[in-house]
Amino acid sequence: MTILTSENIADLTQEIWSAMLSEHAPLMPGDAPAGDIQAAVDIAGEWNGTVGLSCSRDAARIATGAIFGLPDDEITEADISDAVGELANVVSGNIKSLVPGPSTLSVPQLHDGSWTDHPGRLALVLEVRFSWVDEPVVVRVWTDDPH
Amino acid sequence: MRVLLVDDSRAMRSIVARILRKIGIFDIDEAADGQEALDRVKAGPVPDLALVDWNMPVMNGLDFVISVRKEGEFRSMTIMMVTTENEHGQIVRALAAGAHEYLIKPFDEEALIDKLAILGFVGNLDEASSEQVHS
Repeated sequence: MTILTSENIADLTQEIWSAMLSEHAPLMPGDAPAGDIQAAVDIAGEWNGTVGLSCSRDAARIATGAIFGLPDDEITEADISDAVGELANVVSGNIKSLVPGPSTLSVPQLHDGSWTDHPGRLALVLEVRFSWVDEPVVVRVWTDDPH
Repeated sequence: MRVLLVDDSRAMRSIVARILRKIGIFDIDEAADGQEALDRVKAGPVPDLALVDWNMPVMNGLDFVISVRKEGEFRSMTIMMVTTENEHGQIVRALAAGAHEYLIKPFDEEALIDKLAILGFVGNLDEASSEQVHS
């Protein structure tokens, strides 16, 4: 049975932020609906769905600088894609452990941050909003799982 | 001490490499998938330690471990899986295939260093650095 809740997604995402971006303030609950960019990872197997991590461009640049140890003026678009993609990958991997398995993860795909209409017509079942360095961060889960 | 980082994410390789450099490990090589890692190991020199992600394109981390363990000459290489795969069955599969340790993402600096200590690498750093200085 699926045990995805806003609370456990909030907990695991905050834990990931603390581990991977420890030099900055912690991820806090927020209310902004979307960022500028979004990395999405599909979970396929016993449970099928997609996990999206959306954030503002400023948040993405700050996270990228922290992950790669780069000053802002040396950050490239490829760096941003890779950093946001890996954050989404780790969030998705941890969400995968909450749903029935076995299943596999796709490679992260970058989308516009406001992307909410899943191309596979999966339903948006959870949206958890955060604030980080005064910027929006949003985790979304789409699935066709009825539970 | 030579370390091979195997992960399709440049971001994750960067995070791990920074922690390794912080504790004095500077001989670091990188590969973006299992096949690239296997090619590097075969080309030599064989790393002392490989830190291996599970989900990667071309060849995944488990297949890399299985391939490496088929070759007797690479038996000395220590392998630690570093992955989001945290199901008990997956951990057992990786260890049965020949990985020595398992670290689940996300992890912090302390967790990685603790695992390196369990594998005996952190305790050997002073000795290794000393050997480099005197060689």
